[in-house]
Amino acid sequence: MILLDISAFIMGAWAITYPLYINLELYIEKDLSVIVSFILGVVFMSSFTYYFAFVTGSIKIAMLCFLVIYIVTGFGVNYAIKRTKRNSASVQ
Amino acid sequence: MKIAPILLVAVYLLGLALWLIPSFSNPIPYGEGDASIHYFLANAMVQTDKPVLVQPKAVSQWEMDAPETNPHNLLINAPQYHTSLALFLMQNNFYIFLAVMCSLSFFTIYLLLKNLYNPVVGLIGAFMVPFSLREQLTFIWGQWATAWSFALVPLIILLYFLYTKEQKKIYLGLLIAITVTQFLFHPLGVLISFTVLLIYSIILVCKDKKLPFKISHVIVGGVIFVLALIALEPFQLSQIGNRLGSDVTTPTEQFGFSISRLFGWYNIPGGTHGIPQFYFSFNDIYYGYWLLVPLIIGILLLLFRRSKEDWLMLSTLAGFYIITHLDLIGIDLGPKYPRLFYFESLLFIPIIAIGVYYIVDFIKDFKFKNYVRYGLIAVFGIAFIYINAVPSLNLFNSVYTGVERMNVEELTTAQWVSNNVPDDSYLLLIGFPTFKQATWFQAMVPGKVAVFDFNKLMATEDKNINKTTHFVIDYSFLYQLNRNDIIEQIQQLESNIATNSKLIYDDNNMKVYAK
Repeated sequence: MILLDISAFIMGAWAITYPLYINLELYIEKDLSVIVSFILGVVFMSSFTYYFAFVTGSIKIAMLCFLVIYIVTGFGVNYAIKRTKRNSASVQ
Repeated sequence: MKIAPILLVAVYLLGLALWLIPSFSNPIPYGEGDASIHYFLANAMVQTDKPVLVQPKAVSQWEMDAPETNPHNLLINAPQYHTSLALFLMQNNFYIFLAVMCSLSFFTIYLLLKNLYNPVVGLIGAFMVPFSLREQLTFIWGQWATAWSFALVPLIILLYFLYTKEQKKIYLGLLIAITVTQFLFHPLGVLISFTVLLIYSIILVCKDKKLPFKISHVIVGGVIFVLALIALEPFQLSQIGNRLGSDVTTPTEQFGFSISRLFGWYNIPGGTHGIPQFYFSFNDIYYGYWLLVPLIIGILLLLFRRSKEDWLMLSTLAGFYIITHLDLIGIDLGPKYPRLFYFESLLFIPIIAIGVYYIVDFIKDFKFKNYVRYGLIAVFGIAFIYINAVPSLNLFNSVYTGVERMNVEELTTAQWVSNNVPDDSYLLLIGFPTFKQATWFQAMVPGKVAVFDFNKLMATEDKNINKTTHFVIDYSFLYQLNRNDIIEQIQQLESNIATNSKLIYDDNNMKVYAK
C-alpha cells in the first residue's frame, strides 16, 4: 500500500514538473529547472484546479482538465521552441 | 562532480523516509491545531469535491473567524495552499506531499550553495536539513505553509544573485514567479526575502557604484508581481491587510531600544505566542553548542573574504537580524513574530556548511590541504550523524503516539458520522481526552460542527452547546488508560442522554446518540 502511494506521488510529481522542466532546462541549469518546475507546477495545478472547479463543479474534473492542458501545452511549447531553434540554426 | 547528484538524492530519500515514519507506521493524521485546521479545510474540499470559498461553519472551533478581518468568512489562506493539500489528500499521499514540500529547503539550500560556492558545500548544507530539529518540528506540528514559504528564501536570493550577475530576464521572471508562490504559501517568507534582497542591493550599489538591476526590469517585475497576486488570490489580499493591522499592537514598554535586545538573539519581547520555550534555545534546538563553532567560523570567513557570494550570505544574516529586531524601533509584529525563527536554521545551515568546508583556508596553502579539508568534512559528518541525526530517529519513532493522536476507534466513528449523520449537525463530544482528538475528529467531519471545550471531557462553554443535535461519546481512550473514575461519570451522563436520545452507533467503545 505504501509503495502504491509512493508510486502515485511520483507520477503526480512527474506530471506537474516535467512539462515545465523540458522548457526551462533549455534556458537555465537542469537542477535549478527541476526544483523551480516542481514548485511552479504545484502552484499552477492548485490555482487552475481551484478556479476551474467553480466552472466544472468538481475538483477532480478540474484537476484532470489541468493535467491534460498542462502536459499538452508543455510538450507543444517544447516542440515549437526546438523547431524554431533548428530553423534559425539551419538559416545561419 | 558526478557523484554529487547521487549522494544528494540518497541523503534526501533517507531524510524523507525518516520524516514519514509517523505516517507510515500509523496512517491516522496527526499534528497540532494548525495541522488539523489545514487538514479540515482540505478534507472539506475532498468530501464535497467542490472548492471552498466560504469557510465551513466548524472553522470557528479553531477560533479563526475574526469578523473585523474577514467579514464574509472567506477562505483565509490563498486557495492554492488548501487546494494542493486537497489534491494530494484525494490521492492518499497527503503526508508524502507535505514532507516533500516542507523539506524543499534541502534542495533550495543545495542549489544556493552549489551555485555560490561548489557542490560539496551544497551537499554539506543539504545533508543537515532533514536532521534539523527546527525543520522537523515545523513539519510535525503542522506549520506547513510557513515551512514552504521559508524554504523558498534560498531559491529567491539565488535567483536574484544570478540575475544581478548577468541581468538575464529569465532569472528575473523566475524570481517573480517564485516570490508570488512564496506569498501564496505564507506572506511572512516574503518579508525576509525582500529584506535580504534590499540589503544585498544596497551592498552591491556601494561596492560597484551602480545599480545591480535595470529600473525598467524592477518596475515591470513589480507590476507583474502585484497583478499575479490579484489574479491568484483576489479574496485573500484584503484580509492580509486587515490582519496585519490587527496583529500589530501598540508598542508598550516591552518594545523599544535596549542594549540586551541589541546584542540578544532569542530574548523576544511579548512572549513566544504558544511556541514552546525550548524552540528559542540554541542548546535545545541544535543538540548542544557544538554547531556554534562552525557557525562562527563561517561568519568570520564571510567577513574576511567579502566576495559577492559572501555578501549575499551576510545580507541574509543581516536581514534576519533586522526583521527579528524590529522591536528595537518600537515595531511589534504581533503573534507571528516568534514564527520568524522557523527560518533561523535555514539561515545557519548554509553558513555552517561554509565554515566546515573553508575552515582550512585560514591556514596558508600546504601540501595535503585537500585531504585535511575532506577529513574535516568526514569528521563533521560523523559527529553530525551521532549528535543530531540519531536523536531525529528517536523523535520520529516516538512522536504523536498514544493520547497525542486520534485512535482507530475514533477514526472509524468519524468516518461513520461523516457518511451517516446529516450535514450541519452539531455533535457534542464527550470523553475525548485532549483538544487534539477533538480537533482531529472535527477535521474528519468537515460538514458537521463538533462542540467541545479546550482539553475538557465535555463542553460547558462552547458557543454552540445549545444547538447540539448529536452526542458522540468516546470511552476508547479512557478504557485504554484505565480511568474508571471518569468512565463512571460519563456512563451516568450517558444514561441521562439515553432517556431523550436514540443510540445510532455503538462500536469499539464509541457511541453516537441522535437527539
